[in-house]
Amino acid sequence: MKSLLVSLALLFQAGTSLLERADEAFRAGDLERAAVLARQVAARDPGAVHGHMILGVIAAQANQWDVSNRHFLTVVRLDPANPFGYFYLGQAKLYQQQWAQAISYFTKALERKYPERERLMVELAMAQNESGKPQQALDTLSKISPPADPRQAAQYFAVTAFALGRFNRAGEAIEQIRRARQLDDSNAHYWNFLIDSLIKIDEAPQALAEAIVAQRRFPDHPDTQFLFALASHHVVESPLSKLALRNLREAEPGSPRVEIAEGLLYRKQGKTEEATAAFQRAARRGAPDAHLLLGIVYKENGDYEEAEREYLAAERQNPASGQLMLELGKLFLVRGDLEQARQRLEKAAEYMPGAGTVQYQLGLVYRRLGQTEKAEEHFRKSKQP
Amino acid sequence: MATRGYFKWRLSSYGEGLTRRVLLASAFARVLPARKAEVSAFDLSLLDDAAVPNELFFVREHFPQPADLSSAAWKLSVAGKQLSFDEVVARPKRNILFTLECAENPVGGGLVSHAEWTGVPLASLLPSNLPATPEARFVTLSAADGFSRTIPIEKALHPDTLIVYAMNGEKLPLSHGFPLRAIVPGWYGMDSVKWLRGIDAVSGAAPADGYIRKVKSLLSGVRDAGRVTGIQVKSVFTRPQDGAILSSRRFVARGVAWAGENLVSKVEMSLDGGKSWMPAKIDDSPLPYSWARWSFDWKIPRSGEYTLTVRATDVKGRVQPGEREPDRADGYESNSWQTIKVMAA
Repeated sequence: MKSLLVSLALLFQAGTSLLERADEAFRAGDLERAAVLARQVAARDPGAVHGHMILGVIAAQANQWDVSNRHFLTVVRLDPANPFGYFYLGQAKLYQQQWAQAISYFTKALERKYPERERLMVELAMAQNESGKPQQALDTLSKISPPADPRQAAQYFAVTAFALGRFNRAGEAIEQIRRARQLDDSNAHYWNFLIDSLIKIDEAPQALAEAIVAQRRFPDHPDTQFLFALASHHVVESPLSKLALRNLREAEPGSPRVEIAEGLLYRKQGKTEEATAAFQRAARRGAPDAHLLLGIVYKENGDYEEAEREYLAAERQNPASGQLMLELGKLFLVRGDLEQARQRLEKAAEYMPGAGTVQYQLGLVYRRLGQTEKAEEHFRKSKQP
Repeated sequence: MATRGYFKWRLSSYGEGLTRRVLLASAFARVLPARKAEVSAFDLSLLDDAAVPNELFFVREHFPQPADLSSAAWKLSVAGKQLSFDEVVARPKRNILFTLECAENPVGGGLVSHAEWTGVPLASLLPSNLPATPEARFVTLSAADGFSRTIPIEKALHPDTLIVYAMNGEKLPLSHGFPLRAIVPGWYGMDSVKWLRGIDAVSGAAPADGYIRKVKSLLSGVRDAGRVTGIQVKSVFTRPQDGAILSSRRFVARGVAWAGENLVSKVEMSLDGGKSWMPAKIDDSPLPYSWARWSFDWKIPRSGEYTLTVRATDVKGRVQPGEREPDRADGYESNSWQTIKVMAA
């Protein structure tokens, strides 16, 4: 009996030092060694929560979600009061874009007093915003101050920006994302959101200036290079569209977005047939906004029927597009369908509150409808900076 | 517990701003203050074709740009004779491709750009008896902003030395010397005098007009070591740039290399600070006075920080040095290797 107790004590001691070594290796970034040691810990003691935690995090970082989920679920089964298991499950679900589950797990971690509360709230807000609940996200964030850690603080401002973006509060969103980027300029998504937002509010030169810097910092990030191509397209005098297309081809070879960028370049060069063909290829491959672009090209060539067909296809794909509503509104206005024009342009104004061109088109519609005062009001707004 | 938070954002929409609008290109607009000399570099990351668009070409002024520039009223004084702008452009023209570099361009710097220049040979404007005149050893080029340079008569009479009026097929922009400038190909940019007003033969010693090499020595302090003239062999990265963050495991590194009056014969890249070198592909046929684009298909083994170095060699066997000579006491001709650091995520 005594020898058994001694053996058990030795085993426990060995297990503990093995766990410490696994933890040390993990902190040092030697994930292979950490995984080997943690597996040994788990094999000797299946109830070792910390060992499962290490294995779960390592698997998650390698995108091995089934494995990571298994380990984290083991953690919460073995130690239901442990907030870490729920937190890591939440992170894993966030990364897999399973927003509802992420929210559920983060909430449980919160209930169990996860120690890094601010960090947890930021990630919870992220999941809430991504699940289509931006107000919930803003409410969550309002309960905390920005974290002290610069990267986490950047995430705080970024999630605020993303949520504001969903409310079309582009100006405020831009201010918040700039703060995020000031704290962490290594995250391409912050730059991309900023460029996209600037394009949305009609600030193409600013968008291009940001895109020029971004494409230098993230030379093979597909989203960055695509936004560079878009921004360059919007600045008519920009000689950079061809360069942006080359960069995008290298970052995302053969993608539908390359077809879009090609079409935009052809359009800039006045090659309508080639542009149409490129947009058609992109539309067949389901590229966002390909139908919108086709509609614009058809309308420019006076083919309003085809333009309407393409705009309506675009509307089915993405009804919440301010730009699409503007183009549809203009088309209906030209065709004399004033009520359809008004409805679409009012929606455009909702999605792009600062866009002078939308206000101007609304002015035209209301003038044609005989509502002079309303028309004047919109014309006035169209001139406001 | 050491953890690494992973935070991922996917754009919920992009490209909503797609429409055709006419907007000013204020993204590259440079505000030219009324009375200050401008210096603005070319952003090398924006290089695509070999020629740099005029609006992106680097600008270097020694004095503020002159006011009231007009080709109609322009007079070019050549050895005492006045020529109008129309008289100059009526002469048989030539096109030259030339990579212009500022003598003060630092390693990896953007005070360098390439264009096609259109003009008339300087020699065709000079009096026909000039080469035979024993006293004429130099030609002074004087500008409307007060700047001037003196070049040897042999270089002035070289058929490739031009007085140009067009750049990349368009009339010279104001900031690039409208209506007329000199192009002295293969030599640093200060000799390619802008807003050209006068061309005169000079006898005797060349006037002291700056751009002199200076070296330090224990015995004599700092001494002059000759004029800065021909552009030295050099290479740069255009992609990636220092500090870039790469997402994938394969990246085509790109850049340009040039060698003044000589041709570039090879470009090499190093991933170990210059201990070993790998050949890059030269993508352009080498041409006199012109940079050549190069590329290197880089397979990135793992995430982490990488140090990339580039060097070029010209046809005369001259290779870029690893470091600047320690005894140089001036800031000209900086042509040591460019080294950058990038992060592979």
